[in-house]
Amino acid sequence: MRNSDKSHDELGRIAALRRYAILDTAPEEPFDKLTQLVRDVLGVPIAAVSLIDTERQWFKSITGVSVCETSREISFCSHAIQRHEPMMIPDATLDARFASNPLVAGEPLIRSYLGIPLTTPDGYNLGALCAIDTQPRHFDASQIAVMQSFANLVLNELELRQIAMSDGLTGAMTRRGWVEAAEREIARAKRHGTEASIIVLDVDHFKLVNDVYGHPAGDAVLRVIAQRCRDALRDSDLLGRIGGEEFAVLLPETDARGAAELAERLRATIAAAPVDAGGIPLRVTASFGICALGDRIRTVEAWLAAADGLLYEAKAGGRNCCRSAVPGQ
Amino acid sequence: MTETYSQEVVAAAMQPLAEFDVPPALQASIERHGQALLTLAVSLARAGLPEPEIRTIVDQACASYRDELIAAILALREHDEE
Repeated sequence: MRNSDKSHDELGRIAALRRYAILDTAPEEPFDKLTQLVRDVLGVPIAAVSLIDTERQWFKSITGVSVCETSREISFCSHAIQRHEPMMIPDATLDARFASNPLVAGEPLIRSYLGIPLTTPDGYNLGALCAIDTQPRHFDASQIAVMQSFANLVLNELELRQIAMSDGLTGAMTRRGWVEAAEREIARAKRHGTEASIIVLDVDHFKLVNDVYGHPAGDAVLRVIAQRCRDALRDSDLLGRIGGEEFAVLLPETDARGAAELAERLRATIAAAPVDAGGIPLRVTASFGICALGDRIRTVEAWLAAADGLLYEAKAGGRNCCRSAVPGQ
Repeated sequence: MTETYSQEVVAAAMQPLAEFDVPPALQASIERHGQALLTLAVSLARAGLPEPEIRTIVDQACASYRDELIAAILALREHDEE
């Protein structure tokens, strides 16, 4: 069953794109293989998996031209994601939307286009799988069906990547997935001069929960804490389980003050209500270390180490509290 | 080409996946992939591609997924062991 139309929920769409944590990742063979197959089967010179970010289209894979992104305003695929069916442009020079587009008037001289929206299970169009020709062309129904099939394969690859980055117990990202996302956020923040912060939190006396009430109770505690965190986070924030009972939150475009305020809300939320662990109400708390991305931090390891240091200050300070800093300031 | 032939092509391409010890979290992905490959094989046939070419395309599409699946299985195992 089709989800309700979310073509006008741009914030939700961008948040969904962030959850896939794929922007600015390295080329991957499965996606490259599919764009090559599209090019071969449809006989077009250019094929791409295009993902539409806030102000750009970024290519997870592209064959036929050597470019990794363009501005969103000249992107054909940004039009394709406004709908839930294929978009075909038989001759761009005859289409008022595209006739003066620099990709039509100049290199790579696009004349015809077929784009299939890449729709997530929850109904957001992340981007499009597209076939591009430099000649006018009408794609027939059987070719559109082939493209739709390839788009389904692309989407399944995206889903597979996301499952591999998800912790089965809590639904948070795995440590590896979270670290990779944090690496990209560091690069992005340095490139654009934007703020970013992380919060690390560790469940207090978690070993005692496991020892006294058993591992199922411990698992329930971790699940509930992850859910309480998710409920309090923005769609763009990324929650990861980076250790047994340790979580990390990546906060793009958030300064130290904003991160500290959020951490305090998380702390209060976790402590406010007991966790139902198989009928046993358990009071749990967590300790927090908050670290903004200062000038001296260049790697995720350094960022986590700084936040971990603050976390252990919070532990030493009596637990169920927050400690924050901006390194280098 | 019949749909039965498409099913045979997809079953042959997917056969190596049956040997993997797949975590439950990935089972649905494999089922979706099989369904997507079947739709692809049928649509290629309707587009008039010859059978050997369809088999090659389905094999290639499945091979790249297989590599990614192995990486996903290893990533999940690594995380579970941490």
